[in-house]
Amino acid sequence: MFEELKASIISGDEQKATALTKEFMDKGTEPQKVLKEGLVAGMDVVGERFKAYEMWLPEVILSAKAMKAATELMKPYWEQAGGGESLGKIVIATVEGDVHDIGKNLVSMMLEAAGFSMNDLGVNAKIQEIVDAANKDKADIVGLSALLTQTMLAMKPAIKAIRGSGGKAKVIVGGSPITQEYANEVESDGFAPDALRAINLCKKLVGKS
Amino acid sequence: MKLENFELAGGLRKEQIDYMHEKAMWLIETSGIQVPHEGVLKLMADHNGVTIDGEMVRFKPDLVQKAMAAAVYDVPEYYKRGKWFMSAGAHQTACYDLDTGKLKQASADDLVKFIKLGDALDTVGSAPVVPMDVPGHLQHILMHKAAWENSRYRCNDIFEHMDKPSYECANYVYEMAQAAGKRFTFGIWMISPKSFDAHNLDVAFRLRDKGIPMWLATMPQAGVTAPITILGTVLQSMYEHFAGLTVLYLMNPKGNNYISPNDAFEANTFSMKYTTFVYGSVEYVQHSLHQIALCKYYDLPIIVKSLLTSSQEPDAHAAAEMGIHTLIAGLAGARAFRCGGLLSTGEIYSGEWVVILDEMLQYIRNVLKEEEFSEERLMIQDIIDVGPGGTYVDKNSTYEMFRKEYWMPQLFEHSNLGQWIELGQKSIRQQAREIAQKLVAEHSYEIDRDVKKELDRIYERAKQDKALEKSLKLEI
Amino acid sequence: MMLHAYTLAGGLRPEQIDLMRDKAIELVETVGLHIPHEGLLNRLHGINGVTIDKTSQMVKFRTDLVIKAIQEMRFPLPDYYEDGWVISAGAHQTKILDMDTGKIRETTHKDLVEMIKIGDALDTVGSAPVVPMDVPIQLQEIMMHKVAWENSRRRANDMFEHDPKPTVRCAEYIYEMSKIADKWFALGLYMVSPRSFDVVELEIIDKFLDKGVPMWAGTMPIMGVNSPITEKAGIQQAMFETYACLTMLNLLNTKSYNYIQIIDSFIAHPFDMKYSTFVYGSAEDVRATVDKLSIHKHLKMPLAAKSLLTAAKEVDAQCAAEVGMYTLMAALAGAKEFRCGGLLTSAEVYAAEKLVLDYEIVQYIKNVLEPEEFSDEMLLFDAIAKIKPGESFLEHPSTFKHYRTLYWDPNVFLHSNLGQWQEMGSKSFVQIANERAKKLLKEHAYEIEPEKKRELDRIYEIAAKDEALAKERQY
Repeated sequence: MFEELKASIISGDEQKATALTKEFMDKGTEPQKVLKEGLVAGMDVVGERFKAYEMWLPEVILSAKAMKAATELMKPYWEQAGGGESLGKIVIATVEGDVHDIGKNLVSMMLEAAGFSMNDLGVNAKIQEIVDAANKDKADIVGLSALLTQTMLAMKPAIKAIRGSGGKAKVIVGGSPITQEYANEVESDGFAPDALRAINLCKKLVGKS
Repeated sequence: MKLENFELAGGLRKEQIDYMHEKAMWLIETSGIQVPHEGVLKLMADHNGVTIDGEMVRFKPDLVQKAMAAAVYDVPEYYKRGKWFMSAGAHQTACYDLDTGKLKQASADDLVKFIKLGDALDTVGSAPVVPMDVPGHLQHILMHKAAWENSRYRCNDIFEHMDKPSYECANYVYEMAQAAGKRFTFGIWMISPKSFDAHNLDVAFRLRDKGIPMWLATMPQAGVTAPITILGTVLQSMYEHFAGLTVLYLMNPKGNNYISPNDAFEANTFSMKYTTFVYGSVEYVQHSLHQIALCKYYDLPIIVKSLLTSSQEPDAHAAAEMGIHTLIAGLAGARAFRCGGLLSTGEIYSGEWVVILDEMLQYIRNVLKEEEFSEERLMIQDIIDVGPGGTYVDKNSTYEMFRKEYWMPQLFEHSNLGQWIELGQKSIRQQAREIAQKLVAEHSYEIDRDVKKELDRIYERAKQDKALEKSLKLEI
Repeated sequence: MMLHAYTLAGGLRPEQIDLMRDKAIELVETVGLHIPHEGLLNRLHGINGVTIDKTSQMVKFRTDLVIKAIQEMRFPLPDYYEDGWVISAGAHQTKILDMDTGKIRETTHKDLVEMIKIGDALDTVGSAPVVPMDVPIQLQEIMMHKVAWENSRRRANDMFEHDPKPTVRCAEYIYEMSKIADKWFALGLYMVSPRSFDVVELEIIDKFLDKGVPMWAGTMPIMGVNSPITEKAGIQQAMFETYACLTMLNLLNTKSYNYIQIIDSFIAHPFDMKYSTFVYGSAEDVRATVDKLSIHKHLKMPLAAKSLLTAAKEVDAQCAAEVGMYTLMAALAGAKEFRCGGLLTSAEVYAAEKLVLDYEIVQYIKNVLEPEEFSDEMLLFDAIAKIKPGESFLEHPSTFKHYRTLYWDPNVFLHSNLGQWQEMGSKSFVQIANERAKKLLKEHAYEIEPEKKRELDRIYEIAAKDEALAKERQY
């Protein structure tokens, strides 16, 4: 029933995805079903193909955009149905002193497409700002990104501060100079070398892999 | 009579670069760049040829030309002599251990070892690794210190591009540089497209009264922070470089300002398949050739990042990329090559790889060496004299010439299979590691003792400096 | 408008090549070569312009005969040659890097079949890559031709092959097979420097002169051993020897055409005086090949380079450095065919992983040298003007348009970052190449028509029972 919708997400056809979604919504189809069996199912295939390096980033972006547009369209219907379910809440930021955000933006986009609720604090985010946002949102995960060897140093105190504030959020790290060894050293809950693996990691951390 | 040296023909022509130059000037004048710093904006506001709109700044072409004309590239003697050399590093946080061969986080011990190894091979450039076992606020100070204490060339000329992540850090390095009689510069990295890191700009702004050389660099990524085409990214790079240089020209009149040759007109490639930076790819080689053409056009020193590779190990993949890239750059006129020792698109440092690269550079030099052409060298009489069944092995000419005519490699040995097996079947990597260990063990250069004492004293003070620690914002 | 293609400038100039050519022709007339075969000497006796000293068996050819031979030379180039980037893989190695154990061992019939299939999957040409050492010696070359024809489209099937036919009967069997299978057959003469021949090869030539088959002349002098120590002098001697041999063939093989084997024509190879061994892939070897290509270009001969050779013992950094740089120089100098794919340790060992590497290197270089378009569309200055600080080109229409086509997607020079590589198992390059080779082998589908295969089998069976054939290889 949802094959065409799933296909439109895989092919990144935003127009088709939104048209089909609207059709389902107008027909009164259960939003949860549309999301799970159409949209998320499509993104799951995208994810698998991305992981296998068959689909490349621009194609994935198109799929993510189609996904985003379709889920935006579904919002009023969710509210009617009593609220939609996201996989989890994530606060993401490039740490203080660092203004690089390419990787962080990609990860944020992909996580949102995968079904997480994102609060992107942007670049040069102060530690306190991150802590406050994580606690306010009751975030499940905080993602920290750094591109420079000097700014990656901010990750350890940030993680310490997040844990020290009493929040329950898991903390993951990423960025060009980050290695698994460094991620272990700063006592993070995980490291992902690219956006796709960040999705898998986050799903695992919220128990939804 | 000498044979004509081999060189590369083709690529960008003068009229094409003229066109790109005009486009870059037009972009600077009509589109401008973002300068997110009030102090710098104020400094520039009164200058002719500057238009400011919020944080966006546009420059008239003649002002940009002035900035370009004023740039001085104080290249070291060895560059002027046309010496082939390698710049090794820099700032890697992971490395292959020289003893175990295992991948690990870089330490202060690694920093010293790799600097010594590099010095033994006459390498230049920045400190190779970040000492991850040293407190964050001391890392870059120690990198400068170790480089100056253990090598003749490292961090001491236009081919370095070390970071000084805070004003306080920069001051310590400056003090050390004065004590050691070494070169101190400060670099500004643009953030493509068309902007700066405000903090980095602020440090430069605060240092402007010292009258120090400042350099400008930018690294646009094709398809991400710059257009997908290499030529488009090169154009954006030109535009950002010239605009950024003009900012420096206006901000730092007491010092010499220049485009860092280390990343001049850089156009980085990005893998849309792996969503990661890529070095050593086909397109990156193409960009290097454009880079060389532009540096020749603008009379900038040429140093090419041809020693980079996306391979994770010092293996066939790495060597193929580096070899092809460096040779074609050499044919195009480059004699200086950067990022020696780096693997995995700059994620890992490897001492063995530096040794292998050194061998490859020797190979290339011998492929491209000058040669004499004469009838004498055709050795017609010898050909006539040695008949069927005869041999040249015992001829005088063979005895007199064999050592000169043929390069004897240290690593790329010519042993046959049986000989190699008999000699222990060592892999190239193993041999390279042994050579690296030997070079480190035998390294003898050290800085003057009095200077070392002074550097130690300054470093001790830095260790106790709370303001320095705070300047890297590592606390809440 | 395209950017000007990159090419190599420098090296030998036309007047220098002309000088060498003239010297070579002069040496053919004044010095001559040694033909240790009575039958051939008798055939040459009495031909105008040929001077024979029967005692020394030295033969000189007058200049006009040499020039005639050069002018009448024909190069039967296959269609695919014009597009270039051809890889010739092998040949005739007796040791192989086992694809499963990674150990070096003697080659077998199974290896022959597998390496040909892998080579075919990569569109390679040339001779059979390995000798099936588990097959009786008198049948080995026959088997090599047979397997090449049965399992590949191009192998041993055009002028890029140089498979041995070590005895008369062996050559006859291969000739018969080639006619049945409608495949290429030519006979080659490799000179034994300085200026002589292997008697057995001459005997085969003598026996085939009536058959009207193409014949080629080749030579491989070694610098400092059987040619002078300098590279230019080595090439000078090679030119002299090759022209002399070609002239001889032109006078003898009148029922067909003759040519200079472009694989080993005007080149001399270095010899390592430290290890007293042949060397391939060295800096001097590269220079010699570039000179050879300059000479070929000037004399309007096809362009082939043995640039896939290396002195490395493993598929390692030395291997790729030498092959990569050698092939780049050859490509810039105009080479269209790159030879000796798969070979390691100065051609002692064959390795499928090495062939995978060679293929990747050739593709890499091909793409580096691909001329770029220079146009406003490629400069994208409007897009640059419009983009704002903090924005990205990821979703720009130009990115979507070009991202797959403008960037070469490598097979084995993967662009994964460290974390991805570790997650994928931290595989070594050799492992990756090995997996690719095995995949190519598994997916290989070509085979010769069943009727032709039956005929080849039939002829092979006859050869297998031929005692006279076996006797020819006994010592």
